Amino acid sequence: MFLGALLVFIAMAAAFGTVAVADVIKAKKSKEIYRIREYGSAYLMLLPAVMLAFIFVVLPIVYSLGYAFTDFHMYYPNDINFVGWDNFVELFREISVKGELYHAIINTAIFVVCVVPLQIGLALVLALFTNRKKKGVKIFKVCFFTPVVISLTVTSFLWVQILAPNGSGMLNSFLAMFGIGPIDFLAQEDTAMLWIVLMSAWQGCGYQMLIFSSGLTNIRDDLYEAASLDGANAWKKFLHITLPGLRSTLLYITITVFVGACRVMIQPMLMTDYKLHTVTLSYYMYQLGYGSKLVGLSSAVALMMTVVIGCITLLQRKFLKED
Amino acid sequence: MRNEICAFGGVVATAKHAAPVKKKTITAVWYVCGAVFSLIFILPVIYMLAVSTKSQLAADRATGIAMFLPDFHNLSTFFGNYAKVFTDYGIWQNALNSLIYAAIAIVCNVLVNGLAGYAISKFRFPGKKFFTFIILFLIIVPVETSIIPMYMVVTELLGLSDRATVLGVVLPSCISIFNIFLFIQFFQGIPSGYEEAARIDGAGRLKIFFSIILPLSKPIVATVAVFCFIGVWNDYLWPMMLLTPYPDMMPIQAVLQTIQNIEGVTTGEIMASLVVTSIPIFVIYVAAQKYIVQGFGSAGLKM
Amino acid sequence: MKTKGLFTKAAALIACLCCVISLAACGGGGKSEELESRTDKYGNTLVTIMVHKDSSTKEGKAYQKCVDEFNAEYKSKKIKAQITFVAQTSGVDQYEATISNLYRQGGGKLYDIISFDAPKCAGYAKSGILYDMTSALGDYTDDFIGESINRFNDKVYGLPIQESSAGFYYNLDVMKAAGITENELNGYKTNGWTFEQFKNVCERLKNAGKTAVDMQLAAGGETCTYLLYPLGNAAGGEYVSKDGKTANGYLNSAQTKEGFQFIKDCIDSGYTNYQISGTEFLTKNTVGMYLSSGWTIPDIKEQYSANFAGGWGILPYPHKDGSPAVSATGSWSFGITNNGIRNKEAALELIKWMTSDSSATTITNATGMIAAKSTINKNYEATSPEGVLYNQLVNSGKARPSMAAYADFSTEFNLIITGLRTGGVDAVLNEHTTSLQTKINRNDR
Repeated sequence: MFLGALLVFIAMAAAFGTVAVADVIKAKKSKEIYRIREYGSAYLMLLPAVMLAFIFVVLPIVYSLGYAFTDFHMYYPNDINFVGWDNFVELFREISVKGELYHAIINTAIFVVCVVPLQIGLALVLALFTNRKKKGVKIFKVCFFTPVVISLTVTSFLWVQILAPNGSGMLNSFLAMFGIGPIDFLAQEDTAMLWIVLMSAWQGCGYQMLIFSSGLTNIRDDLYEAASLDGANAWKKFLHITLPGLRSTLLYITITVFVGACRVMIQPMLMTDYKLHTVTLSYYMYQLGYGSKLVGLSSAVALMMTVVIGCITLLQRKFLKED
Repeated sequence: MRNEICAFGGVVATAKHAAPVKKKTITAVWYVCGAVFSLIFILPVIYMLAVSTKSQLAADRATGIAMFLPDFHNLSTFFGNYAKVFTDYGIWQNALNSLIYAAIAIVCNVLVNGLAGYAISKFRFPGKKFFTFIILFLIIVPVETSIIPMYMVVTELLGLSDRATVLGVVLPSCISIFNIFLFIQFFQGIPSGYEEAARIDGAGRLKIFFSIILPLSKPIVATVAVFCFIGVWNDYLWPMMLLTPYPDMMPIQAVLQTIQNIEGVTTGEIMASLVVTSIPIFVIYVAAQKYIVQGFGSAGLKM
Repeated sequence: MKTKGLFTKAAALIACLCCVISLAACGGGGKSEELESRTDKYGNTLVTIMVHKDSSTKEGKAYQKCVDEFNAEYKSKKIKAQITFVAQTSGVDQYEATISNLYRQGGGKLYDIISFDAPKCAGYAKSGILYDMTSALGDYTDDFIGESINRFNDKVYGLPIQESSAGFYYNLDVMKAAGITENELNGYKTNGWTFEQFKNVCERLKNAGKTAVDMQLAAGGETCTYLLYPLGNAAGGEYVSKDGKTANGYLNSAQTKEGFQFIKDCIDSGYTNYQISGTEFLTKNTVGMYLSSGWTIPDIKEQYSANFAGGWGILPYPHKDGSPAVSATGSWSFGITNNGIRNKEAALELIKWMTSDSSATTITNATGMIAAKSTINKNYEATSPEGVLYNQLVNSGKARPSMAAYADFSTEFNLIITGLRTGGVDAVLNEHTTSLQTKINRNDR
């Protein structure tokens, strides 16, 4: 492992060296000079960050990349073999026979598809709703924002109690008043994921509401006034002034919410344990590497996830840049 | 004035010229809607607070409105669950741990990432492009995907074991690529004139950073500090993986799971532990709301 | 401009190349170093032991007491034991993860003695985490109940801390309300009972307006596996082949399916369900039977005695008519790790101490479980709760499958139980046979 780290370090250093040399050559050509005092202190300032980032960010990523092509099993740390693309073949086989990975992908897709529009839509509505100067608007804002304050771990444990199938569960106590028997919401195969979606949107949307609010204040008032003079109704103003004005905010929020949704893991882990109807990609990956000890295979899942999420993020960002 | 005009609130703009009765109705509807919305959002939290004061029996029996009211019949045991969480389950130790980790992380985070951001945004040096590229690349890699290799780096490569394992929790939280990015964005907006003036006076680079750049960057420093605190306080999985053998060093989120597993723990006690965990974050949010909004307002959007 | 592009490309190429090369070196640290015996500054030999309970629990305190006694006894012999408590958690099992992580790190970090759940033995033994104690223990193992010693390939890797069995707890008041007499129940206790008799009792309970049985279908984790696996075996089926490498033809065999069909029948007929809360049987008079392990005995005696004023007891596992009865066995065990042999004599002394008659008594008194030694606890009345469990243990106990991929088996078993909620037995078992077989193959080395 140490040797691996050293090699990665040399690789990074070499890559950096090449870029640096290129810079120096280019500078010479254009008769600019780098002052040693300047870049010396710059390197010194970068040093702590580079060290930490190398150890805690770069190395894990590179190892993850490397393990994806081995049969690393936690019980056999001295017996690691290079297996080429076998792990990926195995994963695709599992998808094709509709194994756990298939469920994980489907569940993650359901989560992303539901939570992204729901959370963003809710946040937008709340932001528009609270965007007026009235007495009490601050109280409303605090109410909407309170769930954000509570961490995912806490919300998950809280909602387990709320959805509990026995007498103390809040929702079932409610339903019992109408004579509807106790329902084990999180064990229902078709709706458990939706409860997780609902919980996540409830927990997260206050945060995006704040971002939208700050975006809304940047839209110039005279636009609305001019539109009013033209006789535009509220909906038209929303469509033609508010939405375009929020474009970059909206894109930023979409990216962050999307990436966050792809990584969902804590909620199903704490709320339902490992169940086929709620397992998500991250959770599957974690279970595979940490529970089943198959680090190699787990890293392959991680690599696939990174590539897919990374590509989509890059696409979205490109979209944003064109703006 | 500006705030009065919102999107649907084009309604408001039209209403200005309409009859005052109509305006009043709209305001009333707005308040009612707001109250209902707020209630939906806050209800689970009220439920949590209410149950945290109840015994198991009272929690099981409560229906209707009583679910959301604290147990007034038993005022003597009103804070009984909290007392138990603090004394028997010793959650204060874990809360203290979390605070210490967060404090270290905040200081390191600002210094390490701030310096890096300063170097990249204000200096000319060979190989700068390499860093900017690496930063952009690393931001898009999801953290969860490398959590298992990260575990190996900490335990095997760094060889942290026994009580030194705690460094494995603290150190990674000192570096944040995203924060470097935030700092770069912010520092680029600071005119170079300030620095040059100081340089003519003969100040060193580090001195300039501490005496000029940092004071000018109070908003971004506050934002980074707040996010860092929230990140460390809310982190669950990573400390859980590392610190399982050392319960007395666990941060507060990880110990929630332990409390759930205690034999004979009541719902009220669980809720009390959840409330205790949430309070500091609530305080931070209320106190630093401005900086949280600033975070994405200034730099985040440009990524 | 052109130069710059070239250099950037070159940089990327070099980085990629070096990364790929480094893969080979990723995990290649040699870990088979000789470990030196550990001593503290007073010259005492140190033996470390890790157990799976929090120090604040009753069981944790019992372990602490045993270790304290050991230290007092062995002070003159300069041996000192240090105990570490790592609470087992639900979800991803952090205790289990701690063992494998400490082992993987090498350098003697793993504790000398660890406690482990019996079915994990195969995996630990095969990968070299546990030390083969066969010759070192000699005839010391004779005192233990045969099934409960942890063997792999006929070698001894673990000694049981205690034994546990499970059964169907019943509340006599509820039973009587459904017209079931104590005599009838005692008959089942001594002679065992069949699926049909079980369903008949359930039917009568259901007709009396009660939930017939809480099978803990939603318990999850190892609890679920431990409590329910005997039913799958109760029609003569097996889960995997003897070597633990084949699931196909075992998990999906007709006999195993019959066992699961019994569970499914109980669900479909409304005798049991997934929603029922574990405390309902203990606190109310609405549930007839409750499947649980011996650890509920002290709970009923101490915490919930008011609800059981009319009497209570434990019924054995039912079985298919014509098939032998099967009941749950296997609790946690102590084993010496391969690190432990650095001070082998001391470790052996400690493990013998922890499984001695006096320690076993201390621990079982705290947990309410049954000692795994035939030298103690022989005088139970046959129809008493402890007696039923003890007789099951001796006569019909069947360990969970011994396989390296046991963790995966447990996961699959849980998924099967969840799957039965909506799916048919045939489809569910066939599906999970395939995926269990996949997981076995992945773990096969």
